[in-house]
Amino acid sequence: MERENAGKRFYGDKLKRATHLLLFKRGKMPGAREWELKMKLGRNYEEIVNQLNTLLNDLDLEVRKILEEPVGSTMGSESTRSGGTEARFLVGLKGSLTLREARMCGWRIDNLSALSVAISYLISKQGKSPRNDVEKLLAYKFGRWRAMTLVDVFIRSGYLNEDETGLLSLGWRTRAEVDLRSLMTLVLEARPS
Amino acid sequence: MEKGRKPDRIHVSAGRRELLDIVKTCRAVENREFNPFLLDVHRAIEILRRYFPHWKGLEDYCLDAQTLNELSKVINLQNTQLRFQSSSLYADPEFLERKFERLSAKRLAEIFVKCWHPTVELERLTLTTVEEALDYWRNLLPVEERWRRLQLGRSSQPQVVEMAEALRLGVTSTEGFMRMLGRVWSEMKNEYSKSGEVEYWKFALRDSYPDTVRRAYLISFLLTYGYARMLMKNGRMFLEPYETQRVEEDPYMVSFPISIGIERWKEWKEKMQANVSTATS
Repeated sequence: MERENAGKRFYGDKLKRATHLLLFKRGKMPGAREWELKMKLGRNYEEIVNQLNTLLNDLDLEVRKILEEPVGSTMGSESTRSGGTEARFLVGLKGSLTLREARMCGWRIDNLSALSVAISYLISKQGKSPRNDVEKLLAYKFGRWRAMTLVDVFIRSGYLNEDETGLLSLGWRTRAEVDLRSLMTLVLEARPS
Repeated sequence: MEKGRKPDRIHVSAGRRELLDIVKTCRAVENREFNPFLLDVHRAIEILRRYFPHWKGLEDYCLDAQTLNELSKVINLQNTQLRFQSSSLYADPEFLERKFERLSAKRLAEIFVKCWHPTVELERLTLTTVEEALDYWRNLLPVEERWRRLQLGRSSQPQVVEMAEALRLGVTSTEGFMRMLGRVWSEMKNEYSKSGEVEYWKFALRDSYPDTVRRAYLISFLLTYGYARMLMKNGRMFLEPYETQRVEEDPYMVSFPISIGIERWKEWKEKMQANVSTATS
């Protein structure tokens, strides 16, 4: 009985530690790397993460594992599926927000629509496109200066990446937060309201 | 081959040009400027085969290898595109562009939030940041003491300055900037027509340090605006003025900082004076 209690308590401590590691931002990126979890929670970190996931499920949250892709990889290329990647665990919303909720989180409708255009255009170009092309596309609706600022914002927040040659690609945040398949399906099916 | 018809002569220089064209096209494909299938890989390989026996030196073989390498990258991109087109993520970019033009910003935002699952990230105070903040608070002097240390005193009121004084201070000039540029440019051209070369330091050096800096500043504008160019010969810098302004978008143009410290200026001046005195004696 005592041992069981001790085990439970020990497990509870680890759950708290995992919650702190995953929810509170420590560096530039949220969440924790796999090795960090292993180091701080022990070998059975996956079990702890799974248990935390079950608890968060009731709150419409989930623990996600994303692979940090090496820079320069393209969609569907071999390099994205092979080794050389590092896993990161994040906590994210399981369901989705309404437009009003998204606005309350500080997102403008213009920014959200520009982000959806930029992401779906990049997907259609196999994940990479010159920055000028994306800006030109956004400028049609938002004007040239605003398009440039929006692309900068998306790069800063991690939704897009830009390499030294000016090629844009999908950033870690897009891979972690956006369901690309349903985005493409919805965009293709959409009709002007 | 038809009877009586001479076989096509192989020109190595034409071959080099063709290979460079292929490399250029391959790079454009890699930078997503063209569809990878627009490049005819079979034809490119035929060209490589045709010229391979005629290459003369190492450079030619290197170019051949580079072309082959670039072609392999394009083939890889073609493979990736085929895989991508067979996936459910495929959509024609042009079709999408037209779709975006028709859809309103609100509709696009509605679509996006449906497939967006934002990450939870909370900011917090850590033990280290609390310790740092405490240290800062302990070492922070009261405002009065900090103001006393600054000893700002009363600031002086704006005053009227005579034109001569403003000219002496260098805050204004009687000559317009473009006119000053024009003057230095024609001096450079005169010097060039006389001696056939204009050494940078000889041309920039003046009797006073501020004049030297001002002249170097104007020369830098002449170079940037395409009125002259700079050449390096045996570790020395030379200027070559153009007859007319050349506005060229040179992708290889680089900024070249030249430091003009007062100590170095003194050294150059002494050196120049010594050269002049030996020439006159």
